Amino acid sequence: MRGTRLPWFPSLRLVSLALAVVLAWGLATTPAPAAAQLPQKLVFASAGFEDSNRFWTVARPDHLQYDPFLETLLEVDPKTGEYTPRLAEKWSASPDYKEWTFHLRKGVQFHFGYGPFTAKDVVHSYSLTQRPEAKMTLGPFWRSVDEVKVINDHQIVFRMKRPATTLDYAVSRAGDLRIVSKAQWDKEGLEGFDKRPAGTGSYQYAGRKQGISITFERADKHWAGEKPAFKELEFRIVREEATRLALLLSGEAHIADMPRELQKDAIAKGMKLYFSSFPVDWITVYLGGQYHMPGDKAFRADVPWTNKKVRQAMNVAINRQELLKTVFAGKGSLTYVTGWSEKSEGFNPEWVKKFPAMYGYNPGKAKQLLKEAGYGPGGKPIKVKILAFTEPGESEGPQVAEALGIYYKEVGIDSEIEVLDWAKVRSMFRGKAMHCCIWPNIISWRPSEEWIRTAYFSKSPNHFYEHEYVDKTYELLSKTVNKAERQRIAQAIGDHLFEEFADIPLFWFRNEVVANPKVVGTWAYPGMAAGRSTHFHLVRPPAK
Amino acid sequence: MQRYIARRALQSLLALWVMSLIVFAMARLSGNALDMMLPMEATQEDYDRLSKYWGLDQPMHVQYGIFVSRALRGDFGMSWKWPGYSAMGLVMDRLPATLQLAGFALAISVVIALPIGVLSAVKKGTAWDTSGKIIALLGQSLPGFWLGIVLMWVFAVNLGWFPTSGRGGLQYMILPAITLGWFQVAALMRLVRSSMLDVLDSEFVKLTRVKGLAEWKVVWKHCLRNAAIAPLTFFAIIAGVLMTGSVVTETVFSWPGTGLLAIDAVRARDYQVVQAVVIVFATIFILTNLLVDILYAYLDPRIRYR
Repeated sequence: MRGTRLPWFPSLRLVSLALAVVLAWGLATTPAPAAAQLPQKLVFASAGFEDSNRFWTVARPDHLQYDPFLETLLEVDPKTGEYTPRLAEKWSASPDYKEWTFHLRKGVQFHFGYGPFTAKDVVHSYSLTQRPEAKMTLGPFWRSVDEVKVINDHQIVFRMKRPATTLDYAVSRAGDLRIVSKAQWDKEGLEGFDKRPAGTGSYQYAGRKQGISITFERADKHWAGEKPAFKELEFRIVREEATRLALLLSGEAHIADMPRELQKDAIAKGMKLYFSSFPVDWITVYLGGQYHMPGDKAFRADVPWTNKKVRQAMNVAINRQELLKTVFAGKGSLTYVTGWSEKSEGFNPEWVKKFPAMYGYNPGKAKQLLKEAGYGPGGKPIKVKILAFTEPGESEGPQVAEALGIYYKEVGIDSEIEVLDWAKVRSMFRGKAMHCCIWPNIISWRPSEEWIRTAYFSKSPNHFYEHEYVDKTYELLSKTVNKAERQRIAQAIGDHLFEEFADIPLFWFRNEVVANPKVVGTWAYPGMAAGRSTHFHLVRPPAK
Repeated sequence: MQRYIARRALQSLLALWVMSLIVFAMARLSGNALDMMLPMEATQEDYDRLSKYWGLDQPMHVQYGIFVSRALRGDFGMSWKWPGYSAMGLVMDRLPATLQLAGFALAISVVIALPIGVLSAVKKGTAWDTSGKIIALLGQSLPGFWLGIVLMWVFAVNLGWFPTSGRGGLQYMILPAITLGWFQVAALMRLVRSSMLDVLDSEFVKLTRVKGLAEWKVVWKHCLRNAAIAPLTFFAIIAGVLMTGSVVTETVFSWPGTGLLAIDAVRARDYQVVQAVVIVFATIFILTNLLVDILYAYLDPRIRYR
């Protein structure tokens, strides 16, 4: 059979040559940043969010999808981070912070002809937060509302069950109460809302492919005269990092979430980084088994890091500057106490001064502290399991875990890395089953009181670090309304966490996205608004 | 024959029931859905409320009973991740995209594998044959996600011939279909080659040549027809494999099919959608196998009397 001729086949050499040429051409070609002409549609390739029209069924970071079209009572100024008027023109709180009055803006129209915005829409939007399927970030806060009272069409009062000093945050663009149309709900019900929800933003809802993308169109008239530069806006959910890079470089998307290790590839091809105005996320390594409340049966003294000296040793064993440079490309700033940024209530500038001496990299001191605690050479062996997991858009967890392992080995702490998923890790710390482990976790900014309740209050379902002092002081904070007094109490909690080495605070990060500079000239966004990448109406094309 | 079909159908139902048990148990063993879906701020009250709302507070056997009784009516409940959407509705919405991609990948597999397999056999020991073997080796050893990204990089990003991802016209299908079908090309090609080699050595082929038939008629008409039985059986199996194996390809190319849906649902611990996807996949696979078994029995009477 050898050499049997089949004349309709081209010669192998020809086929091979053609294939080789195409592949070589494809590999050698450098894509130029696309879109010489300004596109009509701005496409943002996102790592993903829980997509639903029902704002009461998703968490704060997922509010990205509502930001263009569903507005809030207050704005978060993209440059100062202050709460400023939006659908509410002015607002005030009673001296005991149990009543908040909002004066609503007149002349605001809902999209698709659903009429003017009034106090009834605020009551309706609030009522959605109380639905049985709600899973909002501020759900517990909204349950503390006693009544939302309509004074007239343009004045409304929130009556609270307890003093609420953070209501301005909750109703702002950083919170999760989106204003939707009661008229639409009355006319079409949930079905109509699912199909095409009406908002008041400078973009209006155009459509959604569930789990794939959501699109918006520029609204004809916005009450504030906001006119986005792009006629259409699309958020495309693309889970795969390499695919998001490909979308950006091919010009199919103009802005993309990108892990830091891929950012440099995008920048090398002419793309540019756009940062939020404020730090948004922090990374901290939490130490399991810190259940120091008196009588807590979950407390186990044999967990080495229940000893403060060991906790300090685990802190000073880490070279934070090196970690920041190698894993996070140097983009971040030190966290002194977990959850407290310089804008947070209770931030203490003394922490900055004391930090190098108490937390600074010093392996010799780490060994000494371990020795004093009875661990290391000549003492008891110490072993830690480092749990690593990743979330969409937060891919550095396993790298941090590996780095920790290396630093701990240097000071005589044996470590083992276990990669789990978030649900498993969360169920472990919720069930107080973390005696074995420590875990790096990236968490987003929230007001100090919210963070203390979420992470350190023993009655919260999360059990990071618990202590009688923190519990008592938190309860005092939650009842205090005087600003200076609150500052002092919140700071006292921060001081305790700082002095006790409650965990291993690492870095604060701004939100970072990569964009095509031929399409995106400037874009000011705060980062601390719900959804992180927000204020798309402020994306401006480059000057010609 | 009827008894054989009835027996095989019963076995298929049993397999489906076992599958339902496995998917139900595995979904719950993989972690608490509420830990994935609720924000950090959630209180115990939130956990209890949603647990009740979703029926997770019921004993496991009650939950399973509800799942099976609904599933028998084609109702897999409402999605937890995508409120307002039924789990089966989501699967059915996405299924056409997966069928389209799998069908196209299958066509590509056949169009590429068949001539290369034939050519390798006819030109055994030549450079063509060696090239065929290399294609087979690469096809079976290159991971799908890697191949997909390389194809995307070369043909979409650098050359700009195709879109990088998403679903649209024919141009959107080329790269994901090649990625999905590549492994099957290799397998199918090797099968065609070996079947062809068997047939090419047979007496009746020699006779056709002696009779003076044109070589292309000998190869494509007489040899291939006789060599096609084994590849045809395999073809039926890979149809199922392609549909159920599209998870990686759909993720890389953001192809809006059931594979991508499954990944999203698994990540979110949306038990309802996970159960619906797996049962649909399992049904497709079991039905494909049942069909192959029936075809076998039809073609070979000895099988049905075993």
